[in-house]
Amino acid sequence: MAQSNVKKKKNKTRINLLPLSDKINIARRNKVIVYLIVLVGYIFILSGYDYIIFSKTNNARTVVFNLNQKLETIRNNNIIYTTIQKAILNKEKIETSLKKDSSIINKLNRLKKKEYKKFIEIIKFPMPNGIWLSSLSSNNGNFIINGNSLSLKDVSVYIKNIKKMKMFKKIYLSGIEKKIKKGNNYYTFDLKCKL
Amino acid sequence: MSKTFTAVIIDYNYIKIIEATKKNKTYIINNFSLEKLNQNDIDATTYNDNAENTENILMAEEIKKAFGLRQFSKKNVFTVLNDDYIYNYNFSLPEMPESDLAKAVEYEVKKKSPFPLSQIVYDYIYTYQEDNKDGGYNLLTTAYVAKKEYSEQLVKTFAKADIKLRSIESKTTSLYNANLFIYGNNAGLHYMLIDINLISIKIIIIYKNTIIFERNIEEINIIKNTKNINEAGETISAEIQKTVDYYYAGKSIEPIENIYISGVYANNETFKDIISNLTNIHIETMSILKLLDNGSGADTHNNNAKNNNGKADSARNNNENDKKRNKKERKIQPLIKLSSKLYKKIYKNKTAAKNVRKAANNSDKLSDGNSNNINHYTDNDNIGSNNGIMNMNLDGQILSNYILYDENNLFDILDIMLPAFGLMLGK
Repeated sequence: MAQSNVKKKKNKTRINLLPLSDKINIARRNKVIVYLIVLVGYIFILSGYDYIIFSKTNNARTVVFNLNQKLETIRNNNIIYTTIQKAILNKEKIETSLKKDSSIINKLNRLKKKEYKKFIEIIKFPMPNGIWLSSLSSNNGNFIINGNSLSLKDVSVYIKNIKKMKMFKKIYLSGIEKKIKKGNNYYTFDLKCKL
Repeated sequence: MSKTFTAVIIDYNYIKIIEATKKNKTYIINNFSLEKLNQNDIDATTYNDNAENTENILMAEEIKKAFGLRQFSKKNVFTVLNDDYIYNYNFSLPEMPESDLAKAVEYEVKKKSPFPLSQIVYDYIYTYQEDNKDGGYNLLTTAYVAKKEYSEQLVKTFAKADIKLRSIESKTTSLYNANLFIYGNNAGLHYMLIDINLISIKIIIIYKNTIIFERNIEEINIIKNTKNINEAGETISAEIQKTVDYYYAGKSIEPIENIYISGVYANNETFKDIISNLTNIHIETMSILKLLDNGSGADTHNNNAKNNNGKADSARNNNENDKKRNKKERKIQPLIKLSSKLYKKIYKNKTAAKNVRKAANNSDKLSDGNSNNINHYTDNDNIGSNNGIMNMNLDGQILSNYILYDENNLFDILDIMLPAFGLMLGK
């Protein structure tokens, strides 16, 4: 304990015999220098601190800016992704509907081909002289033949002829009506043919 | 952080200047010079009406010239007041705060000084001494007092040379601080410092780290007034004897353990042997050159300087502790170095100068005290000239003024720079 006390005690081993006024001047000058050093140090520390804060803020700003940019990119990417996803879904939907449509069309095409064949066969088939057709239509695989006839006999002959074609399972006369046009008598008839 | 100091000592007709930069704890010597004042011009002023003023102007011009020659720094300039103008008073004070101490010293100075306080400038040094009675500490204080007019005159002289003095000290404290710097508290309990100058000699006796006696021997001019190294040694020994006789008259204190010698011949082993034989006291050298030149010297110096802060009586530390400390502190860098520029300049002629010195020392030793057989080299124009060749007179003839010192030799100049260097030291 005593030893550590001694270590703290510092001897004074130099003198200064300058006149008091010079000593005061030197002390004043030193004081000014110390104040200046402290001031400069303070300014330096403050500016350093300011610089650190500024650079930190700047860094933070840069980081935020970068993050924002990244976020923007992510957002854009997300939008693109969503759009693409939607587009994909739409495409899939369209593809599905197109597939459906194409199958229907194909079916229809197939059906139409059959019907056309039937129609052509019906038209090609020789008709009695007193018969002329006004329309041919199909509904759910059933054919409706609308025609005109000068006599009922001709209608009956035409029905027999169609039956001979053996194209339809069932043929029946769904309606016949007598019509007079400009003093001429004729009959309109409707034939329903089931395949 | 570094600070440059310049110390100036005007000694009779010589002006010594040394400039060093303190970097951390190392003093780097940048430059030094020993210029002879134009004494004839200065002396001539005594016949003028305003002699004092003219002398000051001339002195200022000489200082300015000396500073300008080697571009010494004028920032932190230290100088000394002539020892004749300084009175010192020793007294012991109890331990007290610094402000109270200043008042106590003022009181003591007022009591002891023959001049009123308004006419003087004073300052003091102190060392802590353990008080055996109560375990506390006493302050062994030495106050230095000088007449204000001398101090002001010195300030004016330097101001005329465009130099603002930082401090005026005394050669005594500078030597004391130099010794503390080199040997620390290992210098001993009771020792003597001798600074042999070109013209005067200063003897200081230190007891328990306190300067208790000092003596100036003026105009002894050891170089001119002695024929050779033996005679110089004898003269110095006689002065030491006189001083010791006077000092011990009516006192019964421990004998002087060591003599620390600095200045002219401080590094001359023959010279030291002569004094040691004649006084029966161990002689040590206080020299900047030795610290620079000798690696072990630098270590010792480090070791001792480290101890400066220690307790006053730590001089009695046992050897084992010293050895341990030495081992530890060998790694520490030296406390004095030469600047690279000065190193090149001073060591350019080292080999030649060293050889001559060695040869002279050897021949001195061979002569074994017989002055008739001593070899000398002259201090004529050839000595210490830029080529570093010194003429040896090997005919064994004693020639007056043929002596082992050359005031143009940078090594010899550096040897007498210690008091100036000491001004930069101290706390």
